[in-house]
Amino acid sequence: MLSFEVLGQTIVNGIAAASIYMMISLGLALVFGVMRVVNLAQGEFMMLAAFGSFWLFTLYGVDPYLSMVAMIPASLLLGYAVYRLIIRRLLGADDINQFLATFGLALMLQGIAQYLWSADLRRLPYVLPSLEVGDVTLAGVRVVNIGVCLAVLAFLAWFLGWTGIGRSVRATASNRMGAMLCGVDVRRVDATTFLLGTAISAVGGTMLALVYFVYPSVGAGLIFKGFAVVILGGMGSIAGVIVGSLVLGITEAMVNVYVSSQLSALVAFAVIFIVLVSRPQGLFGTAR
Amino acid sequence: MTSSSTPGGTLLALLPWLVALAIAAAVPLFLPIYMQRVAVTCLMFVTLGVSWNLSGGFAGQLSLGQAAFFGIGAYGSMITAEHVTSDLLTSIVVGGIVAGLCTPILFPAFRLRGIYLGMATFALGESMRVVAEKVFPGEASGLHTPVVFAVDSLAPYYWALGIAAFTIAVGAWTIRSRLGLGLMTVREDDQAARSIGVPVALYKAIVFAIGAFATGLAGGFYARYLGFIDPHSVFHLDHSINPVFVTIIGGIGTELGPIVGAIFWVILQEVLRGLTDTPAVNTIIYGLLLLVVILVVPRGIVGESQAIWRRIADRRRGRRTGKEIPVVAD
Amino acid sequence: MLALDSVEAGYGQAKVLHGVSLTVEPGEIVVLLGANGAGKTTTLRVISGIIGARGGVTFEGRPLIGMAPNRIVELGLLQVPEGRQLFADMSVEDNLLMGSHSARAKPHRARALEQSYALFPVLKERRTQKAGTLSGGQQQMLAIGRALMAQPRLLLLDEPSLGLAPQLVTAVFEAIRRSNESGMAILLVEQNANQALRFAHRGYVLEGGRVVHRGSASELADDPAVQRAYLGLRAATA
Repeated sequence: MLSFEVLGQTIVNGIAAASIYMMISLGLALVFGVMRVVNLAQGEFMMLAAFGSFWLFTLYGVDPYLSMVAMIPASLLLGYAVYRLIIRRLLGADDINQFLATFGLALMLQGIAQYLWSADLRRLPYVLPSLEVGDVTLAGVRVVNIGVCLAVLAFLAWFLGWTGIGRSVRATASNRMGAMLCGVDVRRVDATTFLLGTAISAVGGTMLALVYFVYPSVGAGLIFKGFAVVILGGMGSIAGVIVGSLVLGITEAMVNVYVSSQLSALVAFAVIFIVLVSRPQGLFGTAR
Repeated sequence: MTSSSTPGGTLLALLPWLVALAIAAAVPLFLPIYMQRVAVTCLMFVTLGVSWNLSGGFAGQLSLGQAAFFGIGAYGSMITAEHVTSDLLTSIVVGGIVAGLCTPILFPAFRLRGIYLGMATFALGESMRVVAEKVFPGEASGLHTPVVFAVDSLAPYYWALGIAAFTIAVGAWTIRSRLGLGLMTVREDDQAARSIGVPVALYKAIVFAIGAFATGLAGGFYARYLGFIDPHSVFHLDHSINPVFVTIIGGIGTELGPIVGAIFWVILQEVLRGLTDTPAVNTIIYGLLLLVVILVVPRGIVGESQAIWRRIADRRRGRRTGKEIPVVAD
Repeated sequence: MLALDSVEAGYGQAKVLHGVSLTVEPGEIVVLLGANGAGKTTTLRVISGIIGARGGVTFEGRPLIGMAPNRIVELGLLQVPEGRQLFADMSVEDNLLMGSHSARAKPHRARALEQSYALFPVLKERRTQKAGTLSGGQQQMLAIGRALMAQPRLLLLDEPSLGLAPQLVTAVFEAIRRSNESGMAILLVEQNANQALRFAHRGYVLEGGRVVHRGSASELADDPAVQRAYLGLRAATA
């Protein structure tokens, strides 16, 4: 019963999911690439921004695309505090300590959100007219999400490829000691990178709120999609994030439609396990 | 490792443990029923923590998928109880054995280290949960067995104590054996360990199997104790995280660490429960505690105490350790 | 210009330097000789601020210990490190541009890039290529080029000849000599004592983290103990 309409719709849904996966994975990949720190709380930045947009809309009727922009400075404040108090001290720490400290932070942020807003599932009732291409229906907010995602990627490409600080970020990721010996203030690069990742995830939070439920542990579910993506794409590789997100998003959508909706949750875990075991450097990474 | 080569020496080394066991055996007699149940949870944490500490602490293999073995043990014992024999000991031991026999699902991950092993084992644990939810679907996903323990029975406590004591003993034997020494070299550098003839893969397999067996026992006991299980509860991420958590708080890579950590954590939880009944606050404290422990006392309660004790002892002996040269490179 | 006074340093509990003292004067080429593990690389790491130390390290009277590596670079003290530490997955040109990262070098970036390309034309040919794909000799040139981009006043070189074919060694040393003629002071770490002493002004010999010989290049080259230990060694290991 292979119909092209269903296939087309499935792929489009997969791409829409991928646009959100990219937002969390870019943060993970940037931070890991430069600092070799795995930040498990990346999903909570997303969750908090999702709540921010939700409440601004619900209480004051603020358009989510306006609050998406407003979430950026807010996330930078939180991100800087987290960087100074926690992430900076984890540089060079044991893997397990990094993992557990950022896990602790994630739990704390989840707990705070739950304390303030309860564990209820909430929905941001914002609708844009949908787009019909042939028999494929594209929900308006999903189309805009994909557009926002492309804009973020374009910004990142410009920042990393064409600015001096972007070059320092790439250099620090490539060879930290080399960068230090060139006079790069690697701590400033660390902070910049962390904040960049935070801001991208915050933008992703609003995107998420537009197409999914908002609740305190929504980020925890997403972080593992993010792991699957960065592992698939090679830890720390930006190009890998793009391809990895698309592969994961589309595969999940396919499994959901053609196999079993229950098993689509398995895709991310299967990807993590199988890719790590068979090709630890990812599809795009080089062995380190 | 120990200097207890004579039988008398062995007995002397065992004495503190036997005293502790005697105290632990006497404790429930003075506890109200509610606290007895809390104590059972505490002993489960001890079992899970001690078994995780073998691979995670002494061998340095970060595993975040112990829930898989806990769940397998739980299902193993429940299915045995339902279809073979309702004998408690048999079903629990079968649960442990089945979990131990499932260790080979970890083999492909053995070449991974650190965070990568952590993520792979984590993915495995979560996959098991998803698969179990698929295999035991819908309303019928739960399994029931007749209640074994009376509400006010002390038996669950002694079962849990027995399993914990067994796990501690096996753990103590493991780290003192050739296996344990080999694993500690693996923790430092597995290439080097291989080059001096340590069968790295075999040792990893054995230590993970021991841990899986003990974790399976705990899962099997937990299942029979409650008399009802479903995939969501026994394959829950908590069973992967809690053992790591209590071990870190107590002191990773120390024998007493997971025991002290489990007691500390359970008492703290009870104190918190007395102050507030909001689960969110519990989550916040849990997170905060993890953060503080890792940033401030990464060696945990036991590790930090040992370090302080050693410093005092050094000073008393007047030994100059030499000032450490600051290293700022990262 | 640069002065080390009884410097002690190490990694964790393992002490590597047990009181190293040396100086480099403006316009000088000074060579630091010694066997593997004598503490040469550690000495350079201390000077660049990569690792901490006790004792005195001053550059033009300014104490360097405790100063962040990037601020030391701002003073014009550059290192071409052991293992080159290039940005392997970045282009040759990006690597060079990273060299002029410091505020004092940035205004001269365009001219410096031209000079680097004039010094090593092969780098210009390969400027869009990833640094990791260059040959060993080209990588060494890139590492030196990158350091020169920073307008150094004192250049620290850690075994620039390591693993290079003889004609490349000559080219690399030629580049160093030319930089020195334009007024740059140089502290060179070498195992290749013959070559190094031929064009250095002065030298120090490190052994077990201590300076055991010092003198002008010709004095060291004539010293029987140095000859036996370091000049003969080359023939044996070459």
